[in-house]
Amino acid sequence: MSYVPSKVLSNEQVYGNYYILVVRTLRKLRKTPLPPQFSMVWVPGVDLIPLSYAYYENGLAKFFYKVVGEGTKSLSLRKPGDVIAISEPIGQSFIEIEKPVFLVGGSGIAPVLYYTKYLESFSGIWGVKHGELAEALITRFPKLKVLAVASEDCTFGFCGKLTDYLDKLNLNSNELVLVSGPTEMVKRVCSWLKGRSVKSGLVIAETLVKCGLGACGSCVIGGVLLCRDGPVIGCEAF
Amino acid sequence: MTEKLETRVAGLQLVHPVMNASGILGYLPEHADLMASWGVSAIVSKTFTREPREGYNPPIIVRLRCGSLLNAVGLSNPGKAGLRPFVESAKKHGVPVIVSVGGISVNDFIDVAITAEEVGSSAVELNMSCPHFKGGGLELGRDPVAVFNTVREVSSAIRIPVIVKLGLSDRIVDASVKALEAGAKALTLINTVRGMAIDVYSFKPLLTNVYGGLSGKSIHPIAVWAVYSVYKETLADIIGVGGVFTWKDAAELILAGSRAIQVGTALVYRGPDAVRNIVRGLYVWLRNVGGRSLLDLVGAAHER
Repeated sequence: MSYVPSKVLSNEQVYGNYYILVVRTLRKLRKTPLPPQFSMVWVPGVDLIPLSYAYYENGLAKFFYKVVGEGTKSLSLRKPGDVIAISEPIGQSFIEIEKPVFLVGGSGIAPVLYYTKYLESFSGIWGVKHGELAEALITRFPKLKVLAVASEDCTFGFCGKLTDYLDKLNLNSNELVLVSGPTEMVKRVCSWLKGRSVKSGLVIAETLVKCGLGACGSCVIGGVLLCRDGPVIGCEAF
Repeated sequence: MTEKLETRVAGLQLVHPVMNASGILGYLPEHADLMASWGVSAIVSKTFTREPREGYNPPIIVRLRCGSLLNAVGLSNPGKAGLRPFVESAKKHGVPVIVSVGGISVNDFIDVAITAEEVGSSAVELNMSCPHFKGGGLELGRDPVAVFNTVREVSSAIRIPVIVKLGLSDRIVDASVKALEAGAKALTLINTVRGMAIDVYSFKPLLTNVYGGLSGKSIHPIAVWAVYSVYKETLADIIGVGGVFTWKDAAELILAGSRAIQVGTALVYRGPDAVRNIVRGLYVWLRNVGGRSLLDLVGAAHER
């Protein structure tokens, strides 16, 4: 991975462990990232973290991330002016789609944020533990409003889990469903989709990505390398 | 078109000379399917050690300028228990399966090599040259006595061919001679070369492990020299590896003395078609230089 040095412009705590990092690359990326591509974000001397784009325009990149371990913790401590580095965009873009239905769990919203820039229209459900997270993100990405929200703490939208609301969805046979979220949630949603007649059930998958170059093999999922051929793969892999 | 490109190394019959270099994928059953899809003439596993290894924290592989990679993956692998699923998956594809074996003690090597044989591998490649494996790797491979002892013990413990992979050191010819005396049927030359890169904005080394192994275009001439030098001294079966991106790079290594070629970094830079493109190019080259068989050209650069 040749990294593009990037200056931190802001690194804001959105809610709880959730942050939005905004960076300015010191040189333009060779390829403009498109949803749901991601980059490897290097926290120098600490870790390399795969993060989906939430936004990109002319060297200004935004990433929505959750602090889950040492690497993301250290990323959350980077301040405006600090220099980190990002890789060129990784994976295949997937934007030639019409009116997809997003079924999203928690931080799986990350790639959907960037989709709001490219899609005229979409719908779906976003399940969160805490309604405040949904509220905070919708303020910053108003186009998310079209998603129904289910919050487990019952403070925003429907009360309960996303999976409680699946049967209320009126899916028809030419609908494209894009699932994004933690593996357990993806498995449940994909097995629910199996019995439905939709055009296709696809997942914006997450795996362990270590090199981002197709060399180390850690991101293999459903017989493909996520960093090369993903992150969109079929529900069958789950 | 392939019969002219057939070759034989360490007793293994290959439909063409190009296999993958150890270290690109190669430890999970799913990897074997992907590797076979590249069109390699033999599948070479990632290095397996006796116990599972996590490997280092990322960054573990970084792209450098000029078609090179720097890596310190840390020999992450599932340990010898992962050999059976990998080898069985690889064998489905009908090409020889070479298991790369790593370790520190002689017993580590023997243990993994015996398991590799039990699960049906065609050959083992002893990794005595990883530049970032403390206590093993290059630290062993640059010591001709350690090479002799390890190779002799492993060779007497298994029946499948033993290939020894050596790296750049000032004793590479001595170590090669000792490996062959101890029973190695072929040598793989060379492994990555120790190197380092520093980010000039954060002042930090790019690799979490600080230093690692350099591969790709920048080491190709070193590989050509190593193969040439060892072939001149030994006329051994050699698998040449180091910065092979095109048929020309492969042809150079063949003329220097290689009977087969391994491709690693090019699979990252050129993608999954790298192997097929090299094989096609070699075929045209062979025709253009009037060669009947690739094996006629092995070591041809030595004829004066």
